[in-house]
Amino acid sequence: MDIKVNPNELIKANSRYLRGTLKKSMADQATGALSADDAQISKFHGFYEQDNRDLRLSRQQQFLEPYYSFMLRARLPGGVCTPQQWLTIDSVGRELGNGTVRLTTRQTFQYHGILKANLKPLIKRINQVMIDSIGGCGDVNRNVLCNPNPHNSSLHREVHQWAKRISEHLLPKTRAYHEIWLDGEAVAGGESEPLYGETYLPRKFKTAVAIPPHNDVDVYTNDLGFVAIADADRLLGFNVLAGGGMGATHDDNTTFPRLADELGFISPEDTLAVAEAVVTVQRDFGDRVSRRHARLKYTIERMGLSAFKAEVEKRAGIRFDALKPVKFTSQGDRYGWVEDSTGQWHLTLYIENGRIADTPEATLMSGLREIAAIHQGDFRITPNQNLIVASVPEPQKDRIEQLARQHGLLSDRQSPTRLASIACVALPTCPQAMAEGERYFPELMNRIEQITDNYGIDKNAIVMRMTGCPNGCARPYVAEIGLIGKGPGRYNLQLGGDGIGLRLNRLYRKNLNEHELLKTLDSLFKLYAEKRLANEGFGNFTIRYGLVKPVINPAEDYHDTP
Amino acid sequence: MEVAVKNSERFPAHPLDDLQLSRLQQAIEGLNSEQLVWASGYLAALATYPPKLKQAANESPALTLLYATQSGNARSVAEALADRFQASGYTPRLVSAENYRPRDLAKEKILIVVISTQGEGEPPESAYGLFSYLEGKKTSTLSDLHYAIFGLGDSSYDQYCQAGKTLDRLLDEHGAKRLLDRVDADVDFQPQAETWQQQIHDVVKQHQPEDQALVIPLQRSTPVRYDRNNPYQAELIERRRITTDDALSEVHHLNLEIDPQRIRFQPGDALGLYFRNDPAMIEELLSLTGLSGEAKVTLGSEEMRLNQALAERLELTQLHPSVVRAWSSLTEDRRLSDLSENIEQLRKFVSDRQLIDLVSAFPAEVDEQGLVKLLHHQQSRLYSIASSQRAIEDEIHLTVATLKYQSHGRNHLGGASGDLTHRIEETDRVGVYVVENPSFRLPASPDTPMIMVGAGTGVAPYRAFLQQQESLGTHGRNWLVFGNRHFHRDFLYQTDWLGYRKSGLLERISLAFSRDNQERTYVQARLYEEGAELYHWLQEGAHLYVCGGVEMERGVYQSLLAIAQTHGGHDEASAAEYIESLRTQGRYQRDVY
Repeated sequence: MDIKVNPNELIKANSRYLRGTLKKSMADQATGALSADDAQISKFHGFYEQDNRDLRLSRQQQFLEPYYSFMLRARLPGGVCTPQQWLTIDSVGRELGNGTVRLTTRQTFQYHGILKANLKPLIKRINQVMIDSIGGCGDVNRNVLCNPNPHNSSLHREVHQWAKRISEHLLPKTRAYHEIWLDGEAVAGGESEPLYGETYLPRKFKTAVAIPPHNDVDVYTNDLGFVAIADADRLLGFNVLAGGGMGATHDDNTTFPRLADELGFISPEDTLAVAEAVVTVQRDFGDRVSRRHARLKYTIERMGLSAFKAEVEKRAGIRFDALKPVKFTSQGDRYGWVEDSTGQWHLTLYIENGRIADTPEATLMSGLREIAAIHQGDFRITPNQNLIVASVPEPQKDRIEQLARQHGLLSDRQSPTRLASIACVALPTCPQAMAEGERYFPELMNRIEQITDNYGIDKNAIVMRMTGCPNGCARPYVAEIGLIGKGPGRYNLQLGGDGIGLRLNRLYRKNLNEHELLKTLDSLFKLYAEKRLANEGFGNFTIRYGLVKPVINPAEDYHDTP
Repeated sequence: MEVAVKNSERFPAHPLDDLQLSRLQQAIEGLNSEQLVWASGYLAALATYPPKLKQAANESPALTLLYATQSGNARSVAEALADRFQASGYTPRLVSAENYRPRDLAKEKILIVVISTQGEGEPPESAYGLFSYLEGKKTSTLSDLHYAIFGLGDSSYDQYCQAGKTLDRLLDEHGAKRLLDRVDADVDFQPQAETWQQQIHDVVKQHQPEDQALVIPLQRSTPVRYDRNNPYQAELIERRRITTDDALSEVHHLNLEIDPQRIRFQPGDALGLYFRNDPAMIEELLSLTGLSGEAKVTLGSEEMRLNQALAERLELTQLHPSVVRAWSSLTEDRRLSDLSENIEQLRKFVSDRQLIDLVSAFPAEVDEQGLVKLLHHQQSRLYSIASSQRAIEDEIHLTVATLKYQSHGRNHLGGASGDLTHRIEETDRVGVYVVENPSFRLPASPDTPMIMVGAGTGVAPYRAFLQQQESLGTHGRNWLVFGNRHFHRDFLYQTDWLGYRKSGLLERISLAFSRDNQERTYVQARLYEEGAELYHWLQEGAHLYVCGGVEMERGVYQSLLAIAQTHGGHDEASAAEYIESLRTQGRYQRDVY
């Protein structure tokens, strides 16, 4: 057969279970980079090689290689960590990263600007508080999302345990990480990777667990989704979803975002078997030639849903029951204090762009450090890259609120639309970025707020998400307004999400600069203000009013005109 | 090489210039008498039946395919076209814009460009150099050039295929001639590309059949000797700072254009050069002394205006103790006359002062001729050449650190480095001459291992060494030991070294960046750490080179003594003898300043 396997497959196969020549690359002092193959392998260890793209040209002129650094993404199932862990997360970011901590849409934190020589000390330091970065990136199961439900803590605890178990069950078994970063003993031969095999998965794999009515994890956008079905506090089981995914490639109509299919209901004890079965079907049937078409969503399109489902049932040794009815009501976070049934308090803080730093405007990083020093509950990073100070006993509530206000973590001035928004990292570090993300979004939002004020729709939350490229880290394809980077200062405008993450949006206008974008939004908001029905969200309005056709089956109709 | 030049006197009157003669001597070196007789017959036959000359290695080929790509599409179109030409007997040069020297445009016959366009109509990053050259003022006329352009773009952008359009306009403006109208191709470019490839192939075939030989005429030149008394006026064609803005030192890469028929140099040689003093400083000096720049003065047997003497002929930046003494006799100031009697104090005094500091702190009456008399004549400054003439025939690269310091309420710039890096501009000329450095030379045999130790701009000659070996295509094991302050800020020529390592020319790179860590590590310490390996290389016959400041050189010597004892079983005395024996064998060569 004359099929060219993707080069990444050979790199994986030759890596001796993810060792590659990482040790040699780390010891090479003449470059801040890894060898090209090791830069692929390093992703499985949780970090990406990046370079400061603002400096690329000037350094090229200076006979200097690009300013390389690394982005490391931790594995933190469900985004839960203790205050002690937070103190380490904070000090590592100050000392070994670029002085900031970035919360992500995968409910974890990442560090940017880590120099090569600091990678090993960094991994050792977070390991001391039981945090690793295995599979933070790479072609394996990534950090598992779990709704950080602050309203019902006992159900959250149980469901979160499942998220952790799924994460651990799907971890690679190679000892490479321990050997290279933690000075663990080298394994003498005979190592194997029973779940993944030596080429791991064809592409990244994302898993989420949702607790209705909250869809903050955007469960339908994941390769594998579990929707918790509970009777009050008691977990009955999960509706299982498969085949969601956000990434697409500009101008390639064979790629598209896709929402997951619903497979059926399972009891909790079948969770790991089903997760494993879905992963191994993807391992065996996924596309290893074209990485653009390697996600599970394309595998299911190719196999057909019923054949896929049958294969999963066979491998898991179960039959799916009929789906349990579920109602989702939101995909955003709810801010401020809530009290749960046990009388404990939870404070959700809005963190713009998920970026925790000390700046002249606000000392978010110092503030969280001070809170962590006295906090007795836990922290939960949300899938909207915000942070919950969870399980605060009544007597500590005032003190924590005071610290939060003092450091600019709690302000009542943000508009509902800003609070519902997400932007990805993009420039200058992300190698995929075609346009700005978090560096530009807050400023754009200021201008958008002027428009919503003008039309008196400033009390409505519109879910707006910006990414610097079409790969979809901020899940822009399920936003009511999606802005997807096309080139410097240019974005595609997507409309039609339903505000609860159950409908894909569609391309409305292509390649707009800021002026064109604001003009377009101005006329859209004007129309919305005039013609909306009572309680009608913006995304639903754009569909009802016929501005865009809803996406029904993306494989068929995603690339249709609005 | 130097032997050959001396021997040239033995030859009777001959029609060869020095260069041709020395090349001939090199070629016949080591032949026995039988071989010489054969060679003379071979040469005689050549004179009778001249072969068609193939194009010389440094000459541009008749057909160049240039691509500027971001996503790889432009490259693939260009590669397919190259295949097509090759299949029909051409040998096109396929080159990416970033590896293309824009000045070569003037030498091209046919240039075919495939270029993509970025966001707002910009060319890909790799083509920035080409565009800025064509948009600049230095571009030569391109009337001999025939060209064609295939532009790639995305019609959803306003500036569709703009890079290709701009390039088309620029080439046209410089007099180049279109072989074929430009094609602007959209995202789905493949069908257009195939049609175009066929078209351009046919057009080129008509324009220049593949069997047409390219005959390069031999050039004749009158040998002129350029030396310190008769410097060659080289044009500065490029200058860029190669340390980052936050680096502690300011280092610039300079590229001087020379006529290779007139200026010859070898790796290891230095360049002597003259500079102009800072006009602002001269103005201040005149105003402090109340002298007229227009006044005539005599310098030796020459008469000129004071302005010119101060700008070009006199030393104003390196303050000499004797100048302080002479100045002191003009003032009534006791401090200065006391100082003049204590040479230690005087040395300290001149170490952070220039003439302007002296004149401004100790005013004195002096006339124009008196000032000229008490000043020293400007000495040329020497810089190690950072390029190989075998690799780049018509350029001299220099690595110049700007001497910059603040003292006595004034910002000071070094004389030559200030002129070279702050005052002169591209297209200005500098008087230069080659200073041979026979004691800093590549090994006679190209497979001899080399250990090259350099700190700061001391790394410059090694760039020439490695360029030379790269162009020769033969080399031994090479090891570069480099030290500076910060890996990210002043790793001079980092991408060159990495490229040589990738190609196998450089086997090992050892580094010491003194300010990256708490404890300051310098090259001598790094050498000691790697002493076992270093001793091993020496035992295998390696040549060891050291270039840099005198303190570093002393440190390296101490490390070598220690290494010879630790790893070579020497005692203190025999270690010194061992190093001395390396030196007498020419295996320990130093260039220290």
